[in-house]
Amino acid sequence: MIEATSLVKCFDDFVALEALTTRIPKGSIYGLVGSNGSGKSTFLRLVAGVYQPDGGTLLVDGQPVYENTKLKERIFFVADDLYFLPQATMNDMATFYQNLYHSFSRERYSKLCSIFPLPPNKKVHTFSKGMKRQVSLLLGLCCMPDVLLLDEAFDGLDPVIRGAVKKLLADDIANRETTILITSHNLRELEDLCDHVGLLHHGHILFEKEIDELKLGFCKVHAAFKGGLPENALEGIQVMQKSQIGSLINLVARGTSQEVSQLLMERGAIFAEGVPLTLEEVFIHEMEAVGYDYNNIIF
Amino acid sequence: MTTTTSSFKGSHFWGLYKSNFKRGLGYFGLFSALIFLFYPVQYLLEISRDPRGDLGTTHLEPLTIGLFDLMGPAKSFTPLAVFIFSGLMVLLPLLLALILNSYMHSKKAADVYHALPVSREALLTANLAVAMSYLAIPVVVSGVIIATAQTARFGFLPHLLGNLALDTLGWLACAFTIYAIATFVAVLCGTVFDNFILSCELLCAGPAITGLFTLMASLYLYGYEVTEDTGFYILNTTPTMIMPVREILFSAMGYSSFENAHYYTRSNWMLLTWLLIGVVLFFLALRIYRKRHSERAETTTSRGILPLISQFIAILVVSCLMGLLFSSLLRSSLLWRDDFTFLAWAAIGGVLTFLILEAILNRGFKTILKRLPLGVGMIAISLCSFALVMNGWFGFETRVPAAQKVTSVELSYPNKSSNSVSSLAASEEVTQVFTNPTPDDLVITRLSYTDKPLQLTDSENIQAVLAFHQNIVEDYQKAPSDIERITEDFSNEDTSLYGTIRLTYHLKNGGKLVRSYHEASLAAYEELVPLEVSQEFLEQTSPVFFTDPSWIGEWNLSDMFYSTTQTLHLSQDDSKLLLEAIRQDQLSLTEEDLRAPSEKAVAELSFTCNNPPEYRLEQFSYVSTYLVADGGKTAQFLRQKGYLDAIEPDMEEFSGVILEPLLQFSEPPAIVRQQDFYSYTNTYETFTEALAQISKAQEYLEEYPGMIDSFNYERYGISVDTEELSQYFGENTQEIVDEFLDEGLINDVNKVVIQDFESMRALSKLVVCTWDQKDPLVQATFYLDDNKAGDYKTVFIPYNTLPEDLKLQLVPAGSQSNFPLPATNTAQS
Repeated sequence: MIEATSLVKCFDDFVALEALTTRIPKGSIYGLVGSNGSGKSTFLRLVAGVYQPDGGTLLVDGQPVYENTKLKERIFFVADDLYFLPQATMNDMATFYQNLYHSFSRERYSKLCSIFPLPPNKKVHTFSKGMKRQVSLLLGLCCMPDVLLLDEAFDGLDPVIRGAVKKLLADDIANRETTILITSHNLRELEDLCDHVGLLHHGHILFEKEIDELKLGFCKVHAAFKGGLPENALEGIQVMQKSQIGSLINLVARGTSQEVSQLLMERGAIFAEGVPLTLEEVFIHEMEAVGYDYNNIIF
Repeated sequence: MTTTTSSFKGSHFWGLYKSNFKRGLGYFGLFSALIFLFYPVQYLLEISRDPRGDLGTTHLEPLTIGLFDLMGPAKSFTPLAVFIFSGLMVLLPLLLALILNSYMHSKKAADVYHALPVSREALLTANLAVAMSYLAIPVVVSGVIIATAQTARFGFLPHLLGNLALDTLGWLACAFTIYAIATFVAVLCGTVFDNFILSCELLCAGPAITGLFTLMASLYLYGYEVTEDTGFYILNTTPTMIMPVREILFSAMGYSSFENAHYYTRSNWMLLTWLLIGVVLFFLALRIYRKRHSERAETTTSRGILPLISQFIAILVVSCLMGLLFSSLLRSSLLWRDDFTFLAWAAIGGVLTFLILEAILNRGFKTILKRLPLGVGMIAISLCSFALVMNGWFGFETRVPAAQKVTSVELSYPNKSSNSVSSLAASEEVTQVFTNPTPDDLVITRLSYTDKPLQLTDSENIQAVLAFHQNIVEDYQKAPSDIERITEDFSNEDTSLYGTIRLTYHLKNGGKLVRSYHEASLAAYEELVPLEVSQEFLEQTSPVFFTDPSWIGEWNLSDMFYSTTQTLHLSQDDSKLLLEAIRQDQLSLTEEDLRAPSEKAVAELSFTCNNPPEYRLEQFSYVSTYLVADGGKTAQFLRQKGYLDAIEPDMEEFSGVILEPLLQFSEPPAIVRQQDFYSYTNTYETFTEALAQISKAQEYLEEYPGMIDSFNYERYGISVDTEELSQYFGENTQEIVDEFLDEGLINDVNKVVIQDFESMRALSKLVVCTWDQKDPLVQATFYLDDNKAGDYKTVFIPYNTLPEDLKLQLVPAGSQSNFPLPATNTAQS
């Protein structure tokens, strides 16, 4: 479990993290979203032990990370800006990590080498951006960490590889209860992967919830009325968002889609059916509920 | 929580070491190739040739290592190798520190390295281990190759092999220290560029600061001494120069010299000191690195203690350099000290340095206004330190210790019969030269040496030295600058003797106070006269007190004019008696006897001596010369043996004597320069004594007729003598000459020619053994009838002992002179 309490990190006069408090349960995939400069990467570096907190506490399984080598052996950090040893091949990098991570699995490395289309004896600096990202993810997975920190992990990956990586991560959670902390500025990228999400803004967590819990109170319904929407058609429905394209009405409302559809049909709708909410839509409404304009924060 | 130690001990360290070592194999190959090429390969090439042909020796001579052009205590370097290998051993550790620690100066690399399950201490130590492996392996292998080749070629030479092992350790210790300094800088700065610049600055700071301040102190600080040790210490203030200096020092000074051994010991201490500094800095680096913020990577080094130190060092060095450079270029006279010019240019240098460094360290002038007070402060501190040196450095110039605080004092004050020629006498070559001396060597050289410094513990002697020192300080306070001492009225008050005199006080608190002066007034020297009759002084400086009769080769005796010379072959017992007689004479003299001797000098006695080699290291005497005063025990011994009578000069053998006052006393200002004294000492060595010893001098002058011609030419402006003139003017010659003189057509010449035997005899009796340097002196050259070319004898006679008529002829009334006028013009009879 990763537990940050009133975590502070400053860079000269700039406060990157300001009293950040969060709790990431073991075996979860935690998606951390936020705009550029919100402090996502800083938080990851603090969890990885690269940075030392300027205030507050950061514990992984109850222990501080900074200069804790035994704990760091269970953590692997894939940075946004990738670094490989000069002139090293993927095999060299594997040997490098094998020397330092006792849990490094050669077997898994061989297996993953056959999955990912990467030449293991070619120098990494000749690889494309996406290939380098694949190498770093592959090495991270081979180190078999208990905590995997991924900073903009899918940046540059093609959809096929992205799918493969997501599957591998899901397997790791299922098989080894790996805790994955993944950052992105794109919520859509995380919605089918994460079980927890947090929104980081100006150095603190603005909002965080379990995905399932998030989606429970809302529904999205498409409906159509003959001759337009009657005046009393929406009475008794807690509408959070309404839009109309021709005779098609889109509603985001509290309650289940079944209840809302039923009400609309009773009030003369030709048809009314529930459609899935995107994570972004959920975020928009949740944040509006707590008094923030989502568009001002994310975009 | 897992501690660093457990991680360090674990396999992570070795894992990292192996990984890093393997990663840098390319560098390792390159470094090894360079080291092999410029160290063992050069050695092998050198010893594979036969140098005997080049040296002009026969092939029958054994081929020893000494014949080869090899340097250093281990004789393992060729001249080319010592320079290139030194450069490599400075450059490579620095380069390795920059390369191996560069990860902490890149954000991307720091993310990877600092996230690894390895403690930062282990990271830094693994890098050190890799760097030292890259250097140690080729250096040690080179040493083994050289040792093997040396043994195969020259046989087993244990002392050279031992030195080779020590040298190898020394080079590696220096390499470690350079690496440690660069690593220390690495953990404090944010970029590789800053790491390089600041490391170079720290490595050069020691010699630059100490060198410039030493130069400044030697120019501005009265009494400060720059000795041969100073350069050694300046170069040893950086680990980059210890080993090169050591290797070159041995070659420059000769392998077996004991002075060399002295430097070798010091060099070892400096090496250990730097090794310790390196260890301390590396441990400090480990501590700092543990707390180092990874986010410092790729940031400029504008904050923290390191840029402050670096800026201050640069400002101090550049401003001092600018001050020295421009004050020396712009001053009107070498003697003139222009403190304002120095400080003004130092300030300009300081400002420029501050601006340039701001631009480099902060990549622009954005923070210049914010940091201006800091810059002004640093420049002000630099200028204050210069001003302090210029103004006596907290009383350095005027400090004279209290007598009760001094336990002993060392003094570089020579005995009249023992001139110091330490650098010559210490070398084997000179010993060789004087094993079979030629007559010329005997005549012109008094060679003796004592390495034991003159150490005075007697309270009266210490008091005399303190009074001498106090006198110098008071003179300096009256006229602090050289130009004042020469041009102001001060110069007429007293004359000075020029020559280095060094004082080293050993204080009761264990401290030392060292001062060195290049001139002192005669009044100051007067304070040292009590030393001349002190037993403590004589026992340490006069060779008769430390020469064993068995070491004496032969005695030589001559009259004061060198007309008769005898070689005395005395038995060891007689030599012992004669040595004892000289000792007794020296011990029985009083200050008054030395200043105004009542006994005339009758002979000059010298002995040649061949000390056992082991004894030469401390005290060495080849030829010692003594003047024999009539009436003493020495004269008595020589007379009893009949030697004195045998050398009694016959004045009838002399053609004439030319008398003249010494020039420096006839032309004010009366600054007596040391160079002028050579003619009445038997040596060209520096001569600084309160009392001079009057001795015969071998002068290479024209023959007597030629001298008379010159005399007439000086006097009449024409190169004819009165005899020639009489051919034209007949009986009226003298009258015409007198008339010319009256009209100023003939020059006044303060010379007198004496040709009658009685006067010459009378003059010969005026020659005494010693003379008070304050008294005026007359030079008397005695010309033998049958003299050979260049064989003229000059002696010196105190002016005050001359007959009144001679005084008047030498210094005519109205002439510009420091000489007291004869009785006719003064009250003196």
